Amino acid sequence: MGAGGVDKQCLESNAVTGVTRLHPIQRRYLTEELVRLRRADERQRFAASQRRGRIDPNPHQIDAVIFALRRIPEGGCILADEVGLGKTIEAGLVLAQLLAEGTQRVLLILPKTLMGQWRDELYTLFGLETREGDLSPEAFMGPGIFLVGREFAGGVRGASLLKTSEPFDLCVIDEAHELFAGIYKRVDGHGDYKEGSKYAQTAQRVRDFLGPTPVLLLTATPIQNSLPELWSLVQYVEQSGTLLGKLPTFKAVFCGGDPRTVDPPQAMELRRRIATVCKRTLRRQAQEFLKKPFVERRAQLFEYTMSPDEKALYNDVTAYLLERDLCAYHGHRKLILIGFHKRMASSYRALAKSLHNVAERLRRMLEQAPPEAIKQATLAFALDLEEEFEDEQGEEETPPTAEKIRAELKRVEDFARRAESLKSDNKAKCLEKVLKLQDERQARGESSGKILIFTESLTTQDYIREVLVNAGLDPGEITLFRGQNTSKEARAALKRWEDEVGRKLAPNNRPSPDIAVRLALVYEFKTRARVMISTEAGAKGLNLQFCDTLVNYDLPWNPQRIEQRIGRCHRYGQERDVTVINFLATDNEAQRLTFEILSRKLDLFGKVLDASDVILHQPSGAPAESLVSAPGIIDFESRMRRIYQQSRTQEDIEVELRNMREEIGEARERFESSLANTADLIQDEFDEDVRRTFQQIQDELPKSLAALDLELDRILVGYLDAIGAPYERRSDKGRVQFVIDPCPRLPAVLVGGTEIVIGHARDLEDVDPLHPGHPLILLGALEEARASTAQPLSVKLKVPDADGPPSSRRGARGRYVVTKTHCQGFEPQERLLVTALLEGDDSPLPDELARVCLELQPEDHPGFDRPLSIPDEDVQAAVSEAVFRDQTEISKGNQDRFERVMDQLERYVEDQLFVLRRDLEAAEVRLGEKQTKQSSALASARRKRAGQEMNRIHARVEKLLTRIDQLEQREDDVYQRGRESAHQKRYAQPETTILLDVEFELK
Amino acid sequence: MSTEILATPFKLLHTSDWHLGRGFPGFGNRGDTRLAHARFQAVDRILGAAEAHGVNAVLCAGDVFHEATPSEEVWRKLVDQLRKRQWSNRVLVLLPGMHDPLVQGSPYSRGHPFRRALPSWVHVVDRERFELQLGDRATLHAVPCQAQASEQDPTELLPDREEGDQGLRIGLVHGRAEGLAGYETNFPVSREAADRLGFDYIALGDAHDRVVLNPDSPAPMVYSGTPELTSFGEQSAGTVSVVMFVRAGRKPQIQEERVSRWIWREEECLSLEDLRRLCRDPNLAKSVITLRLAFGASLVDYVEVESLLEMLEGTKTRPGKAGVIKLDSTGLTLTTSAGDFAADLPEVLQGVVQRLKVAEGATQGKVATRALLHLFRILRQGT
Repeated sequence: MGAGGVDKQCLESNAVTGVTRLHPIQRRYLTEELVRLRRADERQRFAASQRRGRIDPNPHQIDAVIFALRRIPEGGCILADEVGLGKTIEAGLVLAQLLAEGTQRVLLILPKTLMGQWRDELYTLFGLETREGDLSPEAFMGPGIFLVGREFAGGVRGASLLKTSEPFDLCVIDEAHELFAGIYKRVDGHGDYKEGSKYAQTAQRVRDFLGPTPVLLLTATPIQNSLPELWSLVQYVEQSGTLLGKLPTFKAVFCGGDPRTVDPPQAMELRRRIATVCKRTLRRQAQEFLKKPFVERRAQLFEYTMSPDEKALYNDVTAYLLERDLCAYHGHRKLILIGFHKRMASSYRALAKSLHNVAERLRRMLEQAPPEAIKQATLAFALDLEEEFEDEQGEEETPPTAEKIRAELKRVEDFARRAESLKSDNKAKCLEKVLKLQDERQARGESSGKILIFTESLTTQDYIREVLVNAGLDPGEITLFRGQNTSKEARAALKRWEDEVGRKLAPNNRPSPDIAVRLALVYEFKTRARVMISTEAGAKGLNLQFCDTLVNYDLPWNPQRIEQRIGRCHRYGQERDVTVINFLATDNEAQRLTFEILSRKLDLFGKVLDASDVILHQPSGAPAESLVSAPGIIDFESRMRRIYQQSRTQEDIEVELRNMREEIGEARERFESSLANTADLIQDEFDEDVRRTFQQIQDELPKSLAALDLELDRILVGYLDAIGAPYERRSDKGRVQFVIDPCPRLPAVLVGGTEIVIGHARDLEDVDPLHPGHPLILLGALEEARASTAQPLSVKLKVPDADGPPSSRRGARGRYVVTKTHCQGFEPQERLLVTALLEGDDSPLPDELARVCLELQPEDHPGFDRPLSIPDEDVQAAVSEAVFRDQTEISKGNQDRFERVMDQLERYVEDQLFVLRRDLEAAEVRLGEKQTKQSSALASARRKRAGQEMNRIHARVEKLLTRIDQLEQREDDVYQRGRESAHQKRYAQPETTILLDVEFELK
Repeated sequence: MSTEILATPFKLLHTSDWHLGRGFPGFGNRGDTRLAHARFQAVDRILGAAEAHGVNAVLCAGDVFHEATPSEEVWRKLVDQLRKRQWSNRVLVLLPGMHDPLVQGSPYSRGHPFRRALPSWVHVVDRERFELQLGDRATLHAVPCQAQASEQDPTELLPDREEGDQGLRIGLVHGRAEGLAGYETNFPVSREAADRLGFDYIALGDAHDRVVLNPDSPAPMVYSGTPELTSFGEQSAGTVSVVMFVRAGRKPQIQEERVSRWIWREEECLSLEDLRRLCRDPNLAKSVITLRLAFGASLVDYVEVESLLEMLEGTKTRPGKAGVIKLDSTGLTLTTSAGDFAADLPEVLQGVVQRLKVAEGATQGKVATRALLHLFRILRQGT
């Protein structure tokens, strides 16, 4: 390593980049060219978005990002890829790109269960920190990415706070169908919100605070049951409402009488319109291009039978829990009842601990201890599952008598004693078997050898650790992960991570303490441990794709949680098939039925094998992830709770579980049929066209990335040399790494030095990837180049010896100007134009020759002996002409979008006209009927009534005619507003800024 | 005025041949309404483009109206459109052309209610040697058509550049340039006029396609073409020209702006597959199509043809896919065959089919064919 400017280092860098030391003019041009705002489909823009992350996006994801970036200035879009294709990554790429381009505030509305996962993925894959929103007044202040649960966003207080916050630049809504697809039920026949409806108020609140904020909706199933669901989603991303019109018009034009299906001849038109705002890729289209194709998941089921003692204890405790008025339940029936069932399914150690806690609670009740002391004992019970403790609101209960408490206490103590004195634990033995099998698989090269074990109970977590240590594992080979990671081992892991990884991170890229400890434990598992035992706290957000074996020591009742557990390993980047191991006591019918629902009805585990690899279940139909969030299935957990709360005998539980099994089977059929609907309606492009697009992206991306990397390298070297920062530059594995030492002239956030990589950074967690939005570029290179070129510049340009236009003008003097144009249009973009004039010439140099001047190596010139006779007016005129010519180029892109918007507006009016004309015809037919009725009526009262009806129809006809006439003249506010806005965008004139104005002499 | 560079360039928008009030009876009532309306929409786009480009003047080089004496409904609509705008630093100049010459009763004649209703920033070329100062930078010289046809070259009435005049000179005439069809009788225009008379640009009207007469000259003479097509075959129509001048004598920059909405297409389908392909065309909604069918179809295919045509044209319960369509199905022939019917048809119906097949060869052959088609449709619906 040496100081910046040290010959060895400069020579090395220049030899590699093939450039002599960059002149400030070149640095300025290169950097301005690098950071200018580009159209979404420009290669360098999507290359730049890729360099922001530690991922290697697939072509379908880049295609989706281009689509989203194009749509966002027009209101947003729906990304509706089939499940498992990485919508989160697509959204992350979009966010990273927009934030680097100046976007300040982003709101993410998510299912609460996915918040941790989003937070971690945005950080680990894109280096983006997020803030979780709450009700405090400052929660949404300033720039940032704010996460909120959808209940918060749609609630009165949350929505009100969000409404009064500064506007957001973008809102991303995950699993959007769950939040918005039913909104159509909340609108009246005219498409307006029903004020009185609770749902309408929720939807209206979200819509209100979003205002004109562009929205990115993520959903794999934009249509569940009917077309109006799709209509409602579109309203969020196409705020003019002209794409599909108002709901009644939409239904009349597209539904052909049945809102569940599209009128077949209209299907193509609907697909065409939906394709404007919705991007959907299917697995079969993406598969061929996936850098890492999907890996399978398979489940292995280890069955065991309970020992007679275990079985007897299980039966007795279950019978006890199903009794109605236990003293233990007093004030906390749900908590204790459900908690016991879960612990009993987890481990006997957990059961014993819980029994002790409840015994303690009973003791305190018997002693008539203060309520706070009793509550403490209850809290101890709740904490084992890391659950939040809430007082249950219920009817006032009569306190149990001392005698009753005493009798129950005796029973509970007896259970606890029996649980503790169990001689064998057959489930724990299964785990030991897993450990051995895993050794064998590792030896055969079928597994990384690492095992992730999940349990709901903290007690079980400690117990499993004991089991593993007794089975021969070194304690250092086991990492524990739980909600509060404050143990001595966790602190030690954090310190090791700080030493080995954290300290190398750039100051602007250091995680918060909360994230740091999570990263530290993952790092510990990846680099040192063989087993991680995690509670539910680790089911969300951890990226453990280096581990391919997962053990569900117990199963939560929420299938989404199970899916999340599996998702830690079965995720992007996993290279092996993932094995999910479950344990099942075959003589426990309730457990068997529950597992059957999860594995066979919900296909949660994919293919299921037994311990000897015999196939027990082969999945069919929709992938597991989508079934888990399907309507009618998501209330699995509450249904389980109800069953256990309401059953009085074990037989009751079993009957109810069988009923649920049937219902879920039916729900699944309905859901699969809605998936088929979606596939038919949303998919607009032919597979071959999609393939061609993906192929083109795949072919172009490496070239674009290489070009971008080269530019970044040239700019960074030029900048570091210019400020004299000491650095070391190494090329390795197709990328360049820089270790930059502390330097006071570096940007403030980086004065302490940093490590940077140019190129892919997938496997380099401790090095910062360089991209056009990085502080080294924006605050360093760009600012330095701007400062160095702030004064008037005078240079000699060395013309090469070869023949050509510049060499024939050797000795000529002139001026060249670099102008930046910023054009808003349909999609904001900036362009750099070069204009050059030679003294004595009547016209500016042709554009291509002007660019050649810029590429000639400049040498500083102290100033010309006689002033240059090119007046500012001539330069200004030449610049105006160049800008005008350039507009023709920009116009082409804008024209297509203008045509599309105008076509959309025309269709909006034509759809209405179609419905009105149809209504008119029907009214005229009715009028004719009434006329006949009137003339044939004998009684004057009937004639009068017919006359009155005719008057009403006449009035209706008049109204329809007036409206038809208005629409034919395009007298419609929505149309006019849309037309006005389209005109403004289509013909938007650029703002221009002169970046460089250089006097030169060709030598 | 001097030849100095203009600090802010001078810009104009050149258009012509609006043909407002033109009817399109061959396309049915709805087609007629749509296409007639589209001409006014084009004017709206032109005015919007002029504002956005910040031009100093909009020049319409003749045939603003399709007729010499358009109905009040037509000129009133234009007035309404113009009055929605309030231009203070920009003018619109309307030139009478061959279709709407400056004759007695013309809306351009002084005292006509059209003239009285126009906003002050709209100027009408209502005299032979019309001259208008466009700000302090440019002078417009224009010559109106005063008849529907003439052998007089209107550029001959344009004044020559005076000695010492170093300002921008813009010409505005309507006529047919040498080499274009109809040149001899329709206000023939000399291709050298701009160079000869010292103009910087001459805006021409009459040709509906876009044509630059002298691309190499520093003083272009340009037909900007009609902004919205009026018939098939107008390949390069549908645009206006935005022209920027930085000084007199320097060739102006010309930007072509598309303003048309409709694509005019003549389609011929020689097979059912051709028709299917046409129905999948994403541009159908903005197309004006004459569709000629020229192929033979079996009963099965014929029923599909009917449904595809319904899809294109629309029905009472469903809007059509094509924007405007004119259908010629005289070349579509129906060829029936007993094999088109299911083999397990009840005996009585098989008998009917046989008898109708025989009748097809007799004098009432066409009726029999239609009966077979009808029977086929009924049976198909039944299944």
